[in-house]
Amino acid sequence: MTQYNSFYPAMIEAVQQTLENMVFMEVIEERGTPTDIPAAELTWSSMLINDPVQGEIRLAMPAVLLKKISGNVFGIDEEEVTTSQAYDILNELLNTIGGLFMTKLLPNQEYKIGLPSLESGKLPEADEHTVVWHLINSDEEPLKIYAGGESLLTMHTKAE
Amino acid sequence: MGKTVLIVDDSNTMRKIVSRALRQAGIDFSTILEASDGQEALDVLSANDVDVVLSDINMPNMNGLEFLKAKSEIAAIKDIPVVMISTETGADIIDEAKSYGAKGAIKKPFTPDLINETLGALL
Repeated sequence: MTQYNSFYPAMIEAVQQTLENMVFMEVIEERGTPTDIPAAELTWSSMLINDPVQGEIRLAMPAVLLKKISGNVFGIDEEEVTTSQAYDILNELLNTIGGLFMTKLLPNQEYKIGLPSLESGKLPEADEHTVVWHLINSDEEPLKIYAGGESLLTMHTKAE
Repeated sequence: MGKTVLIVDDSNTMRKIVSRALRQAGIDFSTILEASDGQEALDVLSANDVDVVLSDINMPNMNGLEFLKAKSEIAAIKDIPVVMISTETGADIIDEAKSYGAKGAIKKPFTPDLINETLGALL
């Protein structure tokens, strides 16, 4: 019988490892009532999981946090970060988080993921087929990651 | 004398992230060159003395596997070691890369220590 790694902690580990190794930012799971990110301040990207399960992963954070992270990566003041640079960072982070998450869920198995794409406006409402992780960095700035899709969420069921 | 490394990735952001990790890896790189796809990498290799290449797999125009194959057919540059960097971990694609001459693979997200360990063995 296939043994899956636990779905929920796998994502937390994927986000923590990606942010720490790529942009030197430590995050932990937010306790208590999650910090809301107003739609006007929100930046988010989404990426499809294509095979062997289907679903979608979204990474969302305040635009100001994304600019801070981008400034660190490019070695420039956050005021100098262009929109294009910031969006590239968000997409690269989501791409790496998604790949690492799938590797943790399906060790030694192949998977196919799509390309991240920047989205705008309010995030879709989380339904019963969506899991949301609320994380914060050491400055208590929030970031959130969503995994959605009935097929992808079957992995969550198998992990329980 | 410092080494020269070529980073091949279609994402400028990823090239910057790799470049920063290289500087922190503790290997004496005097020159870090960049290319945005396989064809540009071939051009850079032909015009510079490069000690090692770090290459993405998924790229437009000429991807990492096509780059390896093309490089293996050019006598002047075929022996320059290439390490693949990718989110992909499928054994098939890594085996295919190695069959075209890749000396190893590093999975994202990588640490400076992992880069040191992997490249240090090749330099």
